[in-house]
Order: sequence, then C-alpha cells, then structure tokens
Amino acid sequence: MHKLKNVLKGIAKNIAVSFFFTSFLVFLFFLFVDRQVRPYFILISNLSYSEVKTENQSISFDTVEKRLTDYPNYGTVWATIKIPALNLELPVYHGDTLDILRYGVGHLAGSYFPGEGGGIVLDAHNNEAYFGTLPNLAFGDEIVLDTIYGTYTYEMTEAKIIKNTEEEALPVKTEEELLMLYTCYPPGYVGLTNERYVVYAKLKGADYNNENN
Amino acid sequence: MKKCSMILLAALVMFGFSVSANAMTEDELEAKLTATYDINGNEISLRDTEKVLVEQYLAKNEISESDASYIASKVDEAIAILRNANVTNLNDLSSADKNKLVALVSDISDNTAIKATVLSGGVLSIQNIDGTEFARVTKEAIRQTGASNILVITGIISLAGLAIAVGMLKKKNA
Repeated sequence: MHKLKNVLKGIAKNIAVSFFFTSFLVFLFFLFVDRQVRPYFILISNLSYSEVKTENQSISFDTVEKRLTDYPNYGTVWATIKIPALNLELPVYHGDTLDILRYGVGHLAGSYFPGEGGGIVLDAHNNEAYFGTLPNLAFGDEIVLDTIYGTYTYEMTEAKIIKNTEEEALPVKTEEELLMLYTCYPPGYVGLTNERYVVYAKLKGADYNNENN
Repeated sequence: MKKCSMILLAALVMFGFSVSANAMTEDELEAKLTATYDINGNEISLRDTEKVLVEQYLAKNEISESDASYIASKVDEAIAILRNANVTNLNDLSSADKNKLVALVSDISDNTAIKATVLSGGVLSIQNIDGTEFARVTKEAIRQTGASNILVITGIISLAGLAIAVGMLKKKNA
C-alpha cells in the first residue's frame, strides 16, 4: 500500500513538472518565436483562401442595385486586405468572432460590403502581424480590398482613438462609402482594453473583375 | 430611443424575417423590419448593424409563404407580451416574460425553415434557409482585439512552477 502511494505520488509529481515545463515552453514560444512564425500561419490561411474563394465564386456585384448578388456565409473568406505602406496582406473573413480573428481580419456582420455605399467595419488583433501597426499609417496611404467580385481602393482620411462602447464611431449607415479598420489600443497590449484605434478611409476607385457587372 | 435587449432583438429579427415576400414589396418589407416600435411609450428599434443584417438576410434567403404565415401569427403574441409587461425599460422585463419571448423564438425555429440559436454568452446565431450560418449577433458590436492572452496565462503558470520549485529546494536545503 505504501509502495503504491509512493508510485502515485511520483506520477503526480512528474505530471506537475511536465505541466509547468510545457507551460514554460509555450511561454517562450509566444514570447520569442510567435512573431517570426506568424507570417507563415497567415500564408497558409491565404493559401486556403483559394478553396473558400471557390465556395463564394457565384457572388458578383450588381452595379444597378449596388449590392452583392449573394452574401458570403459566416466564417468564410471573401477578400484580401492589402496595405502597402505597412507591408500588410491578410485574408478577410465574414464575421469577427475570436476564432475568426485567430486567422485573419474580421468583417463585422451587419456592416456593408465594398461597393454597397455604406460603412464597412474590419477588425483584427493588435499585434504587428495584424493591425498593431495601424498607427503608422499616414493620411493619404492606400488600403486595397481585393474581393471575390472586384478590387476596391481606399485612401486614409482620418484616425482616432475611441472607447469600446462608442458604437456610433463606427457608423454603417453613411452618406458615402467609408472603410473603417480598428484594433485594440494601445498596440501590442495583451489582454482586455477599453480603447480602440480606428482608421477611416474613403473610396478612391473600384475595378470589377466579374463578368456579371 | 432605447435599444433592444438581446431577447427582444431575437424576437424582432425572427419576426422581421417572417413577413412573406409575396405579401408585400421589398421596400415595404424593409420599412417594416426597420420600423420603430412603440411599447408603452418607449420607442425601440434595431441597431443600424441589425437593420443591415435584415437587408442582407432577405437578399440572400427566400422565405416561404407558409413559414411567413406561421411566424406572423406569433408576432402579435410577442407584441402583446411586451405591452402587457407594462415596463418602460425592456431590461426590466420579468424572467417569465423573457422566457415567453425565448419560447416564441424557439417555436419559430422549431416549426419553420428560419433557424436561430442562442449560443453561450447571449450570442444569437442566425442560419440561412440552407442550414449554413448567416451571422452571429452579439450585444456589443465592438470586439476585444487585444493580443493573445496565452502569453499571460503561460507566464503565470511558469512563474508559479518556478516559485514551487524554489520553495521545495529551500525546504530540502533547510
């Protein structure tokens, strides 16, 4: 009985040591390696974009009605966002749950799509691989949304810090098309914050790549 | 103007989607969905993002007449529940009244092709007619986008492990 107790005690000790050691390794990974390998994860996400793009292939843009002929399902990729000034290129998903934000940029369901003439709200994590470098963007810098139905180019016009309760700072019913990108502020901050850094950009031009237009 | 609580939102969204496309024009339909309702002198409406969701849902999905009729019959029940509750703030609805509204939403979900599920954290998941997910609606539109907290959690566990190890070593050497 005493021997069994010692064996169980040893096993428990080994499990505890393994747990702490594994946590330590994960901690070191996220502290030193995550930033370096993150672009490769994003690259894989971008590669899978081609598959999702097939799923959303039937979607085109009705230039008369100024709306999409169909809407992407929740959680699927419908665009790539390119910000040359920040050397950033990321997949854009419809929806912005925490799960979605792990893989790319989220699109607020209930905000409009490019070309529809309203507010388009995109959000992403505040680390360097995602939107953490948004404060480096200057007025006039271009933001390109390469969607499944066309390419839309926007020009940054404004930036501000808002409270996380200021929903009116992210309007969707707007007089003219307005792209809004936001992330938690300050950049790189780990955990919950009550401020957001928002970049506003106005539509500069559009190129449709769909025969239905 | 008070904004809708999650339960009322669920009810309005479901009821909004319920109107037969055959019975009215798209403009009339949209006007009905985005209308402001007077409940005991308290004006309520969907948020702008929810109004856009309604537009997009109707553009994506066709609602059958039978489904529309079934759900339409529930609309009056819901409005009656809200009016009879006799509260000026929807958050003051009793648990019993909230349950009645949730039951109506479940009823619609069980008996029509329009499905909605309340997920954990009060998230409302709305499905397309073909069963795919259309959208998730949350009470707060602005998300938490802080960097991963794995760093914090693993850091704390590592520190705890280190503290225990140091403590054990001290005890051994004492």
